[in-house]
Amino acid sequence: MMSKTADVFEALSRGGFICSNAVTASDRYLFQYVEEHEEQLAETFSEIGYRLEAGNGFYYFSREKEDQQKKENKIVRALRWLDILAFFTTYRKDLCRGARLSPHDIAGQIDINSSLKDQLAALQRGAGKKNYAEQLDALFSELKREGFIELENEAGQIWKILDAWDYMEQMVMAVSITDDEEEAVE
Amino acid sequence: MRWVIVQVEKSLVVRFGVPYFFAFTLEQVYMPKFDKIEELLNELYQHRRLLASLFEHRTTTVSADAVLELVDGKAERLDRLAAYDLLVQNHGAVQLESRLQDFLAEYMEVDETVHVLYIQENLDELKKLQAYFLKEQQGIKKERYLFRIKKHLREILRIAALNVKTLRNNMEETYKTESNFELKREKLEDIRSQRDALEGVIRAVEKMLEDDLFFRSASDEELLQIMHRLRVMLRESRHNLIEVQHQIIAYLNHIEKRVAVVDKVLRLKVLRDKHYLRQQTNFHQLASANADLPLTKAEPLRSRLSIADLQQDESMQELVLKVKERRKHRKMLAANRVGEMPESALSGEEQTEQTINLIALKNMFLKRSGDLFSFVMEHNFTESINEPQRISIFCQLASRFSAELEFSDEIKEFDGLEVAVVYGKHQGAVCE
Repeated sequence: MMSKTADVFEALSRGGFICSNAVTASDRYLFQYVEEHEEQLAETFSEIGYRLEAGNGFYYFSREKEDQQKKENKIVRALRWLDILAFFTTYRKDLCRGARLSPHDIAGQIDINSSLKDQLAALQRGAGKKNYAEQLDALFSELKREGFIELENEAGQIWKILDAWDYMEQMVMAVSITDDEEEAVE
Repeated sequence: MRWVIVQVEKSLVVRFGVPYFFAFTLEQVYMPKFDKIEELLNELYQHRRLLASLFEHRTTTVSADAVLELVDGKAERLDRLAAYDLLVQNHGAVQLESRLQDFLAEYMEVDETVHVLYIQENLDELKKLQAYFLKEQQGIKKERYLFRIKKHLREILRIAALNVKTLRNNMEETYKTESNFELKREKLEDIRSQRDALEGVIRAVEKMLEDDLFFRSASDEELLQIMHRLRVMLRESRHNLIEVQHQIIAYLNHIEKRVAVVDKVLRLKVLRDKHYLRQQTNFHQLASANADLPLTKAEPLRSRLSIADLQQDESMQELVLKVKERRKHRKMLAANRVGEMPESALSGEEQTEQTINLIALKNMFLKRSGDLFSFVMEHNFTESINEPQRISIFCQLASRFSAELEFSDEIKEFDGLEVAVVYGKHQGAVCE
C-alpha cells in the first residue's frame, strides 16, 4: 500500500483535522489509513516534533512551543469557538457531530429568535456583512476553513457537522467553573 | 364465536373477537347498521379508493371537497358512510372512523402504538379458560375451551411479535426525528417504560407456559405446536427487547451528554458575556496551555529547492527559464519606473508660488501701475525664482486672470522673446 504519511502531515500540520465522517470518500479513507497506522505514524511525527492526537473519530496534531504572543492568540481563538458553539446551541440543542444543517434554516430562525440574531451580529461584527444570509455564509465558510463542517449538498446548501466538532465541545467541557462563584452566577 | 362485554364510559360496547368495527354502542341502535357481514364488506369494497386514501392521510386533516372525486362527486355517499359509522365528518373535514382506522393499521402492520394491555387481556382470559377446562367434565365443552385457549395463544403470538417491532420502530423514529430535546428525552423514557411493561407480560406468558398444570400436561398435538411456536417467539422477543433496552439506554445517555454540553456552553457563554470567564473559570489557562495545532494559527512550511534537481531535472530547468523570463519582465518594470524625485519637487517652491501666491500676486499687481511682465520680473519673491520660472508665472497670471487684465497692442521684447504688455483693468483694481 502506498504510504500516505505525506498526505496526513499535509492535512494536520496546518492545524486541520482528519475526520471519520468526512464528506468525500478520499478524506474518509485518509482517516482509516491513520487509524490503521496510528502507532507508526505517531512515531514518525514525534521525531519531527509533532504529536499525533486521537479524538473521538478524528485526529489532529499538537506541538509544545511556548510563546507569549501565541498564548494570546490561542485564547482569542478559543473564545471565538465558545461564541460559535453558543450560537449553534442557541439555534438547536441537539446539534452535534453527524448532524446536517443549512444556513437557510438558521436564517429562518433568526427572525423569531432575537438572541440568535444578536449573537450572529456579534460574531460577524466588523466583517462588513449587512444581511443575515451573508453573515451566515461568512460564518459557515469560517467553520469550513477550521475543519469543523463540510458542504455535503451544494444545491441544497446542506452542511454536515464533522467529528472534529467534538473537539470544540471537549474543550468547553474541560473548563471547570469555581464552585463558590457558581452559586453567585445562578 | 365469543362475546366480550366491556364498559366504556356510559355506553356499552359489544365487541367481537378481532374485527372491532362490528361493535355498536346502545346509542347507535337507531342508526342504520349492516345486517350481514357481506353488506359491510361490500360497502368497504365499493369505497376502497376513498378509504385507502383516507388511511394514507390519517395523520392530517382531509377536507370533504378533496375526496369528493373519489366518490364520483357525490357528497351524499360520504354522508351515507358517516351514517354507517365508517367515517367521521367534522366541519367539512373527513376521517376514518377510529375503529376502522385501528383495524387497518393493525392489519397493515403500521400500528404505531404498543398494546401491552392486549396481551395482558389474553393472558387473563387464558388463566380463566384453563381453570374452566380443568374443572369441566363434559368432553364437548372441554373441546370448546381448548379451542378458545388456542385462539388466545395465537393472538398473543401475533400481538407480541408485532409490539416488539413497533416498539423498536418508535424508538428509532423518536431518536432520529424528534428535534425537540426535552420531548425526545420524555418520549424515549416513555418507550422505555412501555418496553419494561412488555417484557413483564412476556415473562408472565412464559411463566404460565412453564408452570401451569394445564400446559405442562398438554397433549393436544395442535396445542403443543402452538406452544412451541409461542415459546420460540417469546424468547426471541425478549432478546429483542433486551437489545432495545441497551439502545434506549445508549440514546438516553447520549442525550444526557448533549444536555451537559449544551448547559456548559450556555453557562460559559453567560460568564463570558458578563466578563467573568477569566476570573471564575480556568478557560484562559486551558486555552493558553493548549498545544494543539488547530488552536494555534498554523505556520506555513517553507522549503528550499534542491540544487541537484535544478541542474538535472528538465522540467525544473524549464521552470528556471520561466522564472528568469518573468524576472526580465520585472527589470522592464523597473526601467519603467520614474527616477528619483528631484529635490526641487520636495522643496515645493514652484508649487507653493503657483498655487498659493498667484491670487495674492495678481492682487498686488492690480494695486500698482505698470505692466504685468515688468512686475513679475522685478517682484521680490521670498524664494529665489529664476527667469524662466518668472516667465512661466507671467503666462499663468495672464491666462488665468485675463478678465481682470487689459491686453494692450504693445509688444515688448525680452531676451529674444516677444511679450505682450498687459495692464490691470482700473475698475477691477478699484473693486479689489
